[in-house]
Amino acid sequence: MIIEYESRPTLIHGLDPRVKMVWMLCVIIMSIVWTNPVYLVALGLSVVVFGFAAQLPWPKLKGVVSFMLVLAAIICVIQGATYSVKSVTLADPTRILFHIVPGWIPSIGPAAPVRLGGFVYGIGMALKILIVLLVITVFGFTTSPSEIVQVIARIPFIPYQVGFVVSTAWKFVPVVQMQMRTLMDAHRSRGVDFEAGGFTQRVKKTSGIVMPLFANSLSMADTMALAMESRAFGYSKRFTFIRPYKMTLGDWAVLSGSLGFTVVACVLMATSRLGAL
Amino acid sequence: MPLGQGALGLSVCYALAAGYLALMWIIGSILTRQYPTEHKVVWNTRTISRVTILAAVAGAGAMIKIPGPAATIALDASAGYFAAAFFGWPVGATVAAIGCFIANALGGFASWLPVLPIYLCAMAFTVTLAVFVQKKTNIIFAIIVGTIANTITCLGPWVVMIGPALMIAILPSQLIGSAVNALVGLSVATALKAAQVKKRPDWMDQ
Repeated sequence: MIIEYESRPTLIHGLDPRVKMVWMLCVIIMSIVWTNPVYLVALGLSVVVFGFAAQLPWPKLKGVVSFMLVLAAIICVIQGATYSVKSVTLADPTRILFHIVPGWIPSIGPAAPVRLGGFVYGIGMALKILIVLLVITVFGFTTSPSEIVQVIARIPFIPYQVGFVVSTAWKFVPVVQMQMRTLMDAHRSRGVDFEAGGFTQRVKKTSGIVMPLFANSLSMADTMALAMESRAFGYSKRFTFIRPYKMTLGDWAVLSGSLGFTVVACVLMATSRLGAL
Repeated sequence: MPLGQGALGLSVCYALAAGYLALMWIIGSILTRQYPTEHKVVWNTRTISRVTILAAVAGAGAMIKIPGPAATIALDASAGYFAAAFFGWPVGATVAAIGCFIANALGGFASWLPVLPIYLCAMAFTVTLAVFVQKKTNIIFAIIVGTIANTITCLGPWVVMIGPALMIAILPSQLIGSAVNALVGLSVATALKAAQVKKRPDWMDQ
């Protein structure tokens, strides 16, 4: 996650993780459905309000947001130059804002015009990406990884084995990373410099770690299978959870609010193009 | 004309992902029928534990960074190729999809989350296709086909949504990254298979 989970006594942290996931999905759906930047800004601001309520450490997002702004600028210019939008709100979407190749360049300028419709559409697209990133950050900051996998394991129609695989794999990543570091140290002690050499040499050196890493993983998997079988994994089709969740009044309010708002927004978009550019 | 990142663009991309899955199923069925000893998988505890650990390796592989000529390359997909070549396509496809999910989750879903299901399907299809080509021809062709398939299936949806302009800029890093992952995954699987078959030299026991 961009910002790691921190346990804090906030209202958002206290929400049921299933409700937070539904809220996140609703925001993502609305960001897909709406194309008008004004609506997307409003949606983004609602996520920011959630972020403030969750005491999100905003300075940690500075690097990502700076990168996103550069990406947004590129998207806006490319979309403005290549995309011709059929707008329901803009009076003249084909109006030229500026040229990528300005007129003062002799013989080739002015060329590659950036049009208003495409440019505004580009802003909307950049906002879509930013909103999704932000909502995931708020969700990841307020929901612990173990809660996330608990929610995944509770999704209906998905076999509980999938939840088990995701949750266990997630927990094994640091173990594998530790093995990787040990292998790299072993190679370094034999004089291998992973930072030196060209690209091909670096790939070759890294392959030297990957081979024993896979071999180790296979023996680790066999040990894990023994441990699982000794605990009768797969004996019963029924699956129980160590931590049962109970919905509170606040959870129901956020859940019904998110779902209701999403349904209304989708219906209004389909019937009267509310939220379309 | 690009379809945009709205409902229409995404629907078309999800339809594409369904196509990847259908193709994977067809290719996988052929592999299972023709090579049952290698590609018929029983989903017991041992298989589940293998999928789990290899998915963790994929997640950890995302943190192995090799500075490349176009961009930094991560070894997140190699576990999927390895699993498909070593344990059969069903295990490989599952590892590739779950590994891709974990690698993305660890990176904070920095790529747009709604396209993640498409990536998962694309990865599952790519490793199955690469192993199919490896069985039918050789590892070199498998790496080439895997690289091309991975690039097309991962960048394809973006071309549908926002057009080819931005994708051309990403193309070199995507191509190199795909090639390195396919090379590492398939060659390690081949080497380990050979090591299993090869008789242990007598001098090692002395």
